[in-house]
Amino acid sequence: MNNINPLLKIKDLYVGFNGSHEGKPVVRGVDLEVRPGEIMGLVGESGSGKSVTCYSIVRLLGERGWTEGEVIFEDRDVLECSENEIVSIRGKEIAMIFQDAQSSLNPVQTVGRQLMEAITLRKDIKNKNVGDIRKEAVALLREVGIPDPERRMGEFPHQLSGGQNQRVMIAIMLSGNPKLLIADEPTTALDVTIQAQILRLLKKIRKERNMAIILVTHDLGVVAETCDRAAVMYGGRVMEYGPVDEVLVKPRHPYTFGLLSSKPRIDIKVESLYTIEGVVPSPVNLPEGCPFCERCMNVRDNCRDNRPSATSEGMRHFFCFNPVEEGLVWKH
Amino acid sequence: METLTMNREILVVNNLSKKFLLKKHKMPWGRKKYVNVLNGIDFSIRKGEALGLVGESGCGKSTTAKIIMDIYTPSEGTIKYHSSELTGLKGEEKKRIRKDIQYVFQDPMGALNPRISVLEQIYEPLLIHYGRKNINDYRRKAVSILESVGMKEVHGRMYPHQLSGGQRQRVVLARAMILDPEILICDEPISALDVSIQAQVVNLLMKIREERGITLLFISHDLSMVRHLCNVTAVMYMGNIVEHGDSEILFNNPLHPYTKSLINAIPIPDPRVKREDVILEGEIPSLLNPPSGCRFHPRCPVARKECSVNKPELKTLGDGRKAACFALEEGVSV
Repeated sequence: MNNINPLLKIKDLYVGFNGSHEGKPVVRGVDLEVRPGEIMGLVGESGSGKSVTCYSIVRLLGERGWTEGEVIFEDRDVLECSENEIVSIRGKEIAMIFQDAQSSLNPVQTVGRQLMEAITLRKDIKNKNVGDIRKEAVALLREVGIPDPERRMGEFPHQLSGGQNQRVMIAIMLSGNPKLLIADEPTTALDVTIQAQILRLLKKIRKERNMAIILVTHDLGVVAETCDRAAVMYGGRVMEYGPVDEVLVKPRHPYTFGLLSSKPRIDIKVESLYTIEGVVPSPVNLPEGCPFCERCMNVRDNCRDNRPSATSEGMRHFFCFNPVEEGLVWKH
Repeated sequence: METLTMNREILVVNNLSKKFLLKKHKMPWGRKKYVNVLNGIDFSIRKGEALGLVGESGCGKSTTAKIIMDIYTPSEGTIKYHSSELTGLKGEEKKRIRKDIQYVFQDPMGALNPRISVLEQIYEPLLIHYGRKNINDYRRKAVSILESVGMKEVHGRMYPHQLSGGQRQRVVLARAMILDPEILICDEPISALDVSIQAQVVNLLMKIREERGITLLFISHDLSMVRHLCNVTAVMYMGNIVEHGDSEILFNNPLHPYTKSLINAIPIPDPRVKREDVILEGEIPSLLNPPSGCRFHPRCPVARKECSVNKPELKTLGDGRKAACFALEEGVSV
């Protein structure tokens, strides 16, 4: 697995906003790799920098943000690309879907028209007529599981449910046949039964088209059921990353451990919940060292001022001076 | 558990229905159109019990709570609290009785007044119910209750925008607790909070319940949290209760096909757990045009002809739980 060339390689990425957070970065040195055809989970609470990391992959921050570091997609550095090059990457090579599908869609155009627009923009359409494009659009809607797609083509986003709008977004995304999909909390706004349907759809797409997916979520359950590998983020940094079987089963970083132990389970009775004391820190006053040090149960004197380097155990890496024992279970 | 079941019912909801008038047909000669959000639900809460009301959006769980709180008036049905009927109460009597039922909203920022200090908001209910005479006592009581929800006296002088989301929800809880209510209704109290903060608030709720013996009606779409916090669970679908019973029995062995698929759809944060891949097809139908018979029949994997004609009643099964499904009535395993 380690010998496969990664599709996307993020090296020491720093991202900040102009004119807010006192100029301090909100993503502070992230290293990540996404391999072809894998589903990579990016987990973290609000303010952990997971969404901002994703935005900078497709350079969606524009004038508002600054970036440092490298985002290598195949063999190009996305951060160094010209505006024309990035336009040719967005949608065709890397596509993105968001949490609120209804606000991603244009409310005054039918979903069919928006889907056909995406197809004409992304395909070489010199030899195609409108009828062919329409047929392709209907086929895409069918592929993402929208019942009665011919009729749905003529409907507006407000006539569709949240789950169906997300399916339309996925169809628009598929029209460019990208190699990498960034899904930013695609199911957070949906009910659980619909969430299960959308996650199943994403897994099916990955299998059929061998598309790599970065799945941003705050739900470790979603990661466990969908992803191959996961990166846990906190305070703008990656705390732990590796195969889901290791990170979620035997967490080594106290933050991963805390997250897993502070959520009750649906399948077993949990006696009591572990609490991570304190609050998520603001990016403005993060310590130089480990961002989690103030809330950590294993904190040591050197955690505050020194940044822990990566410790590797097989395929998994974690950034901690004093990791939890392997296989530790929260005792009540 | 034994002592709990011995306790008497303090809140009895009977045949509660709510329909909202659709504003679309304003012409006087046009027929009025209603949307039925609740279709005659029955349940009761015993003293000291924690009842979890779960279901997907639009199932009527919040409407139920808001009717109990008199934010909506029911279209039909009764709510009995001890010996008094809550619907139709007026004036001083209403104020006196309602004081014992308090409500915690989902969004703490929306529930707090941005221009009043935290401490003043916490003791404001005392001013409303007992007058202004003992304001220094109120302050002392507010400080002690603030400390009991894990905050410090300095926070009392702050304003809501200076607090974090978790702290705000603690303030809302403190304000609800200051009148020593018998029943606390929490409507999605943790959904707006970060994962690491959710556990703090839930542990606090459990502590309050233990210390004060408070009765809890907990509304949530987070079934795992309900399993953890509540000893009784009621599952709702499109304005009906489909299954109701002891949480451990219900979550370990769900019987109604909707409860089954709902529990199955919740992801488990352990990749070693492999479950049957039964995913519910389709979406929740529109309330404007609900299916006939059992509301769940178009999505139900075991639906039969009968299900689209008649509506199953909530019936008590062998292990004490209740479920509304024809297949269960005949003892067929679903």
